Order: sequence, then structure tokens, then C-alpha cells
Amino acid sequence: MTRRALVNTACLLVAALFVFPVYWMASTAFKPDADIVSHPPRFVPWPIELDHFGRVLGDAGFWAALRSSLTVTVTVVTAGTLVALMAAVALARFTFRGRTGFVLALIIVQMIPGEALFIPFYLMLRETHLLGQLAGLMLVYLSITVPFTAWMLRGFVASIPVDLEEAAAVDGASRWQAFWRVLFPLVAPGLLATSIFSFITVWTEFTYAYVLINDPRNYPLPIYIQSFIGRDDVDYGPQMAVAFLFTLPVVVFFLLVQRRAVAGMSAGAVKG
Amino acid sequence: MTATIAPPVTPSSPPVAPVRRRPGALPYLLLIPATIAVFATLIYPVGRMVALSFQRGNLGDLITRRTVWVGLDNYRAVLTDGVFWTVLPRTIGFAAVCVSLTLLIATGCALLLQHADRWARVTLSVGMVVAWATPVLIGAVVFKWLFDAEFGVVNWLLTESGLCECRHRSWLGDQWSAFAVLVSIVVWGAVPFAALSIYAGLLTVPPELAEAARMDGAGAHRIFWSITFPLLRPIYAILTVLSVIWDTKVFPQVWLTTKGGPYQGTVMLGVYIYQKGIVSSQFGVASTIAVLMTVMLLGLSWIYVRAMRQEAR
Repeated sequence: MTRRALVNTACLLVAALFVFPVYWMASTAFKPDADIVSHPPRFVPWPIELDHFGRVLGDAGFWAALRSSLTVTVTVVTAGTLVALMAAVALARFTFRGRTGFVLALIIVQMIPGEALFIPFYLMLRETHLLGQLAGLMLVYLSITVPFTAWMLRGFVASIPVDLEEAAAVDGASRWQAFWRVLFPLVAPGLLATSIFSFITVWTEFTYAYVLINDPRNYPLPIYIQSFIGRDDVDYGPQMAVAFLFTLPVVVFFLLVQRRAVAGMSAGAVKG
Repeated sequence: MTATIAPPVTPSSPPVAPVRRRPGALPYLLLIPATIAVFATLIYPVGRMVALSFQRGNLGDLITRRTVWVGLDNYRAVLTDGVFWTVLPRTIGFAAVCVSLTLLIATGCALLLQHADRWARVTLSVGMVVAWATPVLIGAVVFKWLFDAEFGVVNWLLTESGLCECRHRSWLGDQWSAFAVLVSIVVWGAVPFAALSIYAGLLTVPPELAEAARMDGAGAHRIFWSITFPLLRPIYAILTVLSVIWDTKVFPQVWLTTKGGPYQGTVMLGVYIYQKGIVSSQFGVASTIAVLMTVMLLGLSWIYVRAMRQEAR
């Protein structure tokens, strides 16, 4: 075997190792119960069985959790992106006193580990009677997403030549028109990318949701998925089916932005 | 930034570019919502956390809204708490193992990517992106199923391949094997990002350098350590700091698999804060631990930001 063939084979084996857990989740979801607990395990889900999905989709708890997750995610992503865009335009387009300070604050705030903050958030929400409510969770998520969204969008806005807006202004466009007709269409791809980032962050967040949402009626999907674990015998079929449905949009969205994630990281690290 | 370059300013001319209108209050107005979002939901909680660490914060105190300042009592309590001194080294050790394994395996994967044919490279990258995209909580849930004592596929594979008689091995029932499971969850999720970053770095290393070294008789080992690695050192520095931060604050991975068990054997800082604060309502003590953890991680982040800025120069 040549060296290259060896390398290629290693690639395939390692790729299999990475994919296997995800494959096993999917295949468990599509297997009948008897095959899930069979010895030896069945590696190919055949015949494909949709029973677990049926059970999940027939569970009112799933729909409630989906509604909670969608409400929280859509609200936070929309509001957060809007707030962050306003901040980004201010930071990238105007010089004013305190600008550097604000940018610095955005960076420092992102360095505070969220895992350390659930105690004060828990107490704050309890005192304002928002504990267990989705509104409380949304506020917390806004604080997590706004700093990094504003930070990323600032870069996008700054990369668009200001001359375009100035030309529009010379032609008599108002500030609002210059923004809406000229800047906004050019920033749109950046808005899409940052929205996807915050979507993934909010949709998959576990710790805060677990600590702050104690009312089963308001469980978002991550907590619904973990609620399978508490039972005596974990019902792996339905659990993997929900996990599959939950992960699917994330993987799709992730594929859309992952190039940007790696490129941004390595550009900062190597060339600067 | 693409700010317009102002003409050289002479003392007599006003320092304002003629085309631009004065911003006035507009930028401040635009920043108000972001400031509220960040201040009310982050700066305030941080302040609250620090304040709580100097207060007695039992459930009773909080219900009656009596604030009792206790000075450094909480810090004294935490720093003389035997459990804290087992949890802290355990967390650091866990992070150290995870980070080393992540970087080691990621380097291997990056080198594989570099030397493989196109089809194999694409296969491996796609595989890694799938693992990377999988949410942390799903990774934890799926690994728990993989390592299931009765019907888990890991036990079956180990038994079939003759490595051990593991038909009913309970991985989460023993402290060290539970750790192995936790490490595998973290490393599986962390390698893709590191590997793809290192690979992106490898692509920027001029091939002529390695070629020249090969002509001079250097082996692959020598080339990696004397040429490639020094060039990629900034990437490794950043990946190390980021991974240490991420792996120190693990919560979902632990909570969804072992819940800190068996017998509190896998409790790490995040879980300890949760147990002290939310479970046993000792909010003052829990905040103190959280403050200590924040200071630790902020120190690391500071190194990270400094490294980034040095690279940017």
C-alpha cells in the first residue's frame, strides 16, 4: 500500500469516527424498538420505521416545546439583530465620544463566562416574577447574542465604502434613504450570517434554559430532550427522533456559515 | 475600517470633513437599545454576583429581602472547603486532558487533510463539519446512548473485538470511566474546529520551505517541528486558550450524562456552582465560586486578546 493510500484510508476511518455518533442517532430514530435493543446491534435501519417520529409528533409536549423554542429563537434573533445593527451602524459610521469605550465594552462583555452568571440571572428573574417565563429567558439570550452580533455586524458595515452613502446624500437622499436603499442591501449577506449564528446559539442553548425555565409548559426543546433522561429506562427511540429533528436545521444552517467561521478564525490567527 | 482619510489639518481649518453631516446625537440614540440589552442583562448580573459573594444569601434571607453583609466570610468558606479543593484541581485536570487530546488529534487530522487526495479530504472535512455542527447537548445525549450499559454499541464493539468482556459494563458507574466518557464527548465536539483551523494554517505555509528542508535531508518529523509548527504557533496559542476556556466551563456535557456522579466523582466547577446555588440555595457561596471562576477565565481571555492584538500588528 502506498503512503497516499494509507493516508486516504486513515481519512475515511477518522471521518467514520466523527460521523458515527450522528449516524447512530439517526439510525436509532428510524429503527423499530426491537432492533434498538438487539444483540448484535443493527447498523442499518431496515425496514425504515417511522413509529418513533409518529410518537414524538403525537406528543403534545413536543409541540409545546417546539412552540417555545421557536418563539424564543425568532424573537431573540429578530430583536437582537435589529438592536445590533443599529449599534453597528453607530460604531462603524460615526465618530463620537465614547466609541472606543463602547467597542471595548463589547469585547469584555463577551469574555464573561455565561456559566458563572446563572445565579444572579436566576435571582433577578425570580424577583421580577419572570422565572419560568419565556420572556425572562429571551432577555438573557439577548444579552448573550447582542454583543457578538453587534461586533460581527460592525465589521460588515465597516467593509462597505462610505462613499456610496455619501454619493446618495449628494444626490439628495435623506439619511434614512441612504441607509435603507444603499447600505442595507449591501449588509444583507452579513445580516444573514450573523442571524444564523445567533439562531444556532439560541436554539441549542441548554444551561440557562435548564436553570431558568422550571415550568414544564414552557420547556424549550433542549429541556424537552433532556427530560427523557430522568425516566427509569431512557426511551432511546423517541429521544433520538427528537434529537434528529432538533439537529437537522442546525446542521443545514451550519453548513451555510461554517466557511466564514473557519476563514475568520484563521485570518485573525495567521495574518491578522 | 474604511473611514475617509481627512486632509492634513492646519490649525485654522475646522477638523470636520465637508461632505459629512455632523452626527449630533444620532449615534448615541442608535446605541441606546444595545446599551440597555447589554447593561441590564449582563453588567447588572455581574455586579449582583460580586455583591452576593460578600453577602449571606440563603433562601430565607432572599425571601425576606434582608441583605446581610458578611465581608469575606464566603471567600473564607470556599477557600477552606475541602470539596472545592477537590473540584478545582479536577476541573483543571479535566480541561488539561481535553485540551491536550484535542490539539493532538486535531493536528493529526489536519496533517491527514493536507496529504490526502481530494475525495478523501472532502470526506473527512464533511465528517468533521457534521460533528462540529452537532449541538453540545445532542452530543452528550447521543454519547450516553452509545455508552449504554446494556444495549450500547460501544460495549458490544469492545466485547466483539475481544478487547474486554464488557457486555454489561456501566461506564457512568465508575468515576474514571465516567471521566473517559466525558472527555470523549468534549474532544469529539472540539476537534473539528481545531483541526480545520490548523489545516487552514497549514495551507498558508509556503511549500517551498518544506521542499528546501527536504532537499537538505530533513525528515517529516524534523520539517514539522522546525518549520511548520513555529509558523503555526499563533494558531496553537489561540486554540489552546480558547479550548481551556471552553473546557473549564463544561456544564451540559456533565449534567446530561453523569449529573456529577457517581458519588459526586465527576463534579466540576459549573456543576458545583449549580449544586450550591440552585439546588441547596446557598446563593452567596455559589456566587463566590462563580466569581473565582470568572476571574480565572477572564485572566485566560486577557491572554487571548493580547495574543490576538499582537498578531494583528
